[in-house]
Amino acid sequence: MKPCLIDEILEAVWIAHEEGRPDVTDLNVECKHDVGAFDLSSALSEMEALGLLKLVEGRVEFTTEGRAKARNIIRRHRLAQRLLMDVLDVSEGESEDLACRFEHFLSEEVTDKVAAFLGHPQVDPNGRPIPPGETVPEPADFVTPLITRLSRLKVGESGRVAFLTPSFHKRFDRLAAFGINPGAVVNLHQRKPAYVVRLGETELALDPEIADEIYVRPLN
Amino acid sequence: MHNHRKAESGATGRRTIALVGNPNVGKSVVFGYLTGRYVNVSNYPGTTVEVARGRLTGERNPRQRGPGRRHPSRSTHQEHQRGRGRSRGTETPAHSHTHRHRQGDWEVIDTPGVNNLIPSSEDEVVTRNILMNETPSRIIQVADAKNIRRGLLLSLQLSEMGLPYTLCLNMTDEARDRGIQIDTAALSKALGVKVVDTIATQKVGLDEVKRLTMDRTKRPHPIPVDYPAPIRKAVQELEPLLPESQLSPQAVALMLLTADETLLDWLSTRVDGTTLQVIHSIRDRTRRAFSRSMNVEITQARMRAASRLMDQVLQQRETRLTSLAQSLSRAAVHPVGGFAFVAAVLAGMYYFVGVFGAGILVDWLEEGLFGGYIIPGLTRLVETVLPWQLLRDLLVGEFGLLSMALSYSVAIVLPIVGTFFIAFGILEDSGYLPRLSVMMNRVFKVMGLNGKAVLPMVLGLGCDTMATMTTRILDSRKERLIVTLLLALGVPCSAQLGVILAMIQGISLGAAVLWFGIVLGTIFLVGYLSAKVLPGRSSDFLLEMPPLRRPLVGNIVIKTMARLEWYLREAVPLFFLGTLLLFVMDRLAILAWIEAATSPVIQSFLGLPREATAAFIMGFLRRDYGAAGLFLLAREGQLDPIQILVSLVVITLFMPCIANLFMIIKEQGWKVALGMTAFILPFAIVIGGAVNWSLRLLNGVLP
Repeated sequence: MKPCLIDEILEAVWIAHEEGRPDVTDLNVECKHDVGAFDLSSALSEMEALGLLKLVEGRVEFTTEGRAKARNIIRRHRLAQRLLMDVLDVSEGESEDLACRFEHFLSEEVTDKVAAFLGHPQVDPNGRPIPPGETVPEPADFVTPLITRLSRLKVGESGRVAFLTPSFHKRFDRLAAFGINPGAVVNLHQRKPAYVVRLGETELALDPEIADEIYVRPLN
Repeated sequence: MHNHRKAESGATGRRTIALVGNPNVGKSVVFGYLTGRYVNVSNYPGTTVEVARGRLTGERNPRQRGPGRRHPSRSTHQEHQRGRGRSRGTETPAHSHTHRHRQGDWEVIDTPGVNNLIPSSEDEVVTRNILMNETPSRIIQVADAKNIRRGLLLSLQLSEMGLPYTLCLNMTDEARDRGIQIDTAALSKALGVKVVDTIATQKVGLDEVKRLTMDRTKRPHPIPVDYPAPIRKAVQELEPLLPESQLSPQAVALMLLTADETLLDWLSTRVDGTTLQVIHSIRDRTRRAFSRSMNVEITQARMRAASRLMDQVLQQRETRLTSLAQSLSRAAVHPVGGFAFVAAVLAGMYYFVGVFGAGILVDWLEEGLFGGYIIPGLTRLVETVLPWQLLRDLLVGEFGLLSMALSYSVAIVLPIVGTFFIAFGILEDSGYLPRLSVMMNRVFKVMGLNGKAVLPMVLGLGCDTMATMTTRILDSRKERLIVTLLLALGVPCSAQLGVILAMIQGISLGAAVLWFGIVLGTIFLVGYLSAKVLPGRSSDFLLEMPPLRRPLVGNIVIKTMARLEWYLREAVPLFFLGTLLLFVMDRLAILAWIEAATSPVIQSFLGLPREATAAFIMGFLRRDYGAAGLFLLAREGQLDPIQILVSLVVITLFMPCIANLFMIIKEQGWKVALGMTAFILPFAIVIGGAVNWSLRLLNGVLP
């Protein structure tokens, strides 16, 4: 069994658990990295034999070792995607594709450096949590983040929207229809009594909680 | 396709033009132009909640319809049949004739403003359903020229649906002021539709919009949108499975991919179970490929396409706009200055509605015109013409239809409501109301609401019944319930407020402040508690602030007239009904019986004279009747200051008027209406009693 297939399956299981449906039938092992043809059920039993997974009543569970491994893969993938999208401005599709490759070979040291460079982000561009590293960073390790929340911009400052992490789908839909999408430039007009931002010729008033969920790259 | 459409138009009996666009782009003004009718045109996001429908006006149209000779609905149908027959029989020669002849059969629909045709709000569902199910033969999209990107997001979706439309680039004057220049010809070429520059409020370009829309329209060009690969694949697989529809298969397939449950009903009646299952499995599989909702993936892909299109046609000059409107706009939402603004607006309203409307105009109308001439004249007339005492009393007695209902509704309420509607219209058209929402957002959060709720609450100061209807603009049922309750409980309408203010002037400033404090405190308390009790989450405060504009006198006049027409048609009959009810109750001694039955509560608990009961009962028929009844008692010196204050508190918090109750039943159902009544009645009495007893204990607080 190829190591990268193991990685892909661990990743799929992690995501399935995040989404709260760890059934074998729901597993979605689909990555751009070519893993060749494989049979999922035999791959799963092989991994069970390796001590990475447990199959319980049709659900896939991690062993301690499997979870630690999966956690690192997810961390590498999501940090890589943040790096590619936020810093290098690679498109979403391509960055997803590349991150799928990065997750297999980034060393732990490089991964931690990427995390520090990005200011230890909590979530990936799709709003999913990035598992923190083994060593909890000292405050001094935080560099000025390249991406910040809209709510942390200075009044009068502009930022280009990098990604959104809304707590509700509906909120995301409404923001998207107003044009608050990755790439859009917003200017913060005021904070109180409500946030007021300008986007093109549209002025929007919004709650602080919403402004917290919009991540921007400050422009000067 | 052709057959299909004919069948559709046959079913609805006429052909339709749908107006589609983002909120606040002037759709309603275009609608008014096309139909000769006016609906709410305003800056406040979401005011066109109800779908307005009207008939397309045509110069020779009214005569041809021959009103009065035939039953209107039948005539429409016949005209339609004839129109169709003729166009089928004689091809080109009679074209212009049939064209004009048929104008009367065109129905214009003003759809609710939407930002996206993937529905995420009720308004958006309504608009999408109109496009899908009413199969309009023509569509006019109205877009704000200075916010073209958001307009193009809708254009792309219309193009994708394969619906022919005319794009009306509105507010080109404002765009020009901001240095925005749009290449209309290039845009028209790219979209494959007709594009017209307009300034709807000045009627610039609207003639052309109408002319081009009536011409036969071609299907728009499909605009390439870069959907993510899994979505493209799913669309390809879905297309052959879909039932026939007015919309293109691609558009329907994309709709199905979104989390749009409302569409599933439509689908399940049109395809068999196996196909439905296949569709579901494609949908679920595609959804799994994305971490975010599909709506967002699709909208973002469209938005990127809209941006590309915009870059091709838009030229932006750098302009530094530091107009007065912009400085005012800043000041109106300034964390400190904004409240001064609020105070100034409220003071302005007080002087215009309270002092001018409720004071000067009411004095002149009620005491001068009605009290001096009309009522005495009518009384003399009735007494000479009618020999029967009962009928005389019915018309001009104590609870007479003329002496009471007519003079109250026209001499007291009309000037107050009229001045309020003018003031409110100015606020709406100036674009100030969303800014007021921004200022009030935090305060309203305490009550489980957000700044948006300020609109119905302020409107409630004009007319609670109308305001209850406006609660539809709120996003969640929880918020609608809270605002409906607070309106019914504590927001006095303009008519009542006028009388209340007049009574308070009779006592002291301290009493006025006390009354205001008690009512406001009660509103907050009840709002806070109901926010805790009612299930559900409060909705997001995410509001567009249109630029401040100078309101046009013409628009304010038309809008006020439309609202007054509503008042005369909907509310005044209720005045008459209420008065009639009072008259009957008085004759049958029911009034006396209720007075006797409730007097222990009224007299001992509230410490009010027995006559106050009649005022409270009247207060239910019309809130201001109640206040006016108390006003008379106070003027006759029957109430001391504490009694005035107690009765004012009770009448303010007391039951909404009968019209408001009907509206609550209509909007929320009779169960909710009954529940609110059961809460408000005892609650108002308890608060009144508490005020009475605490003031009596602290004797001498009120001078």
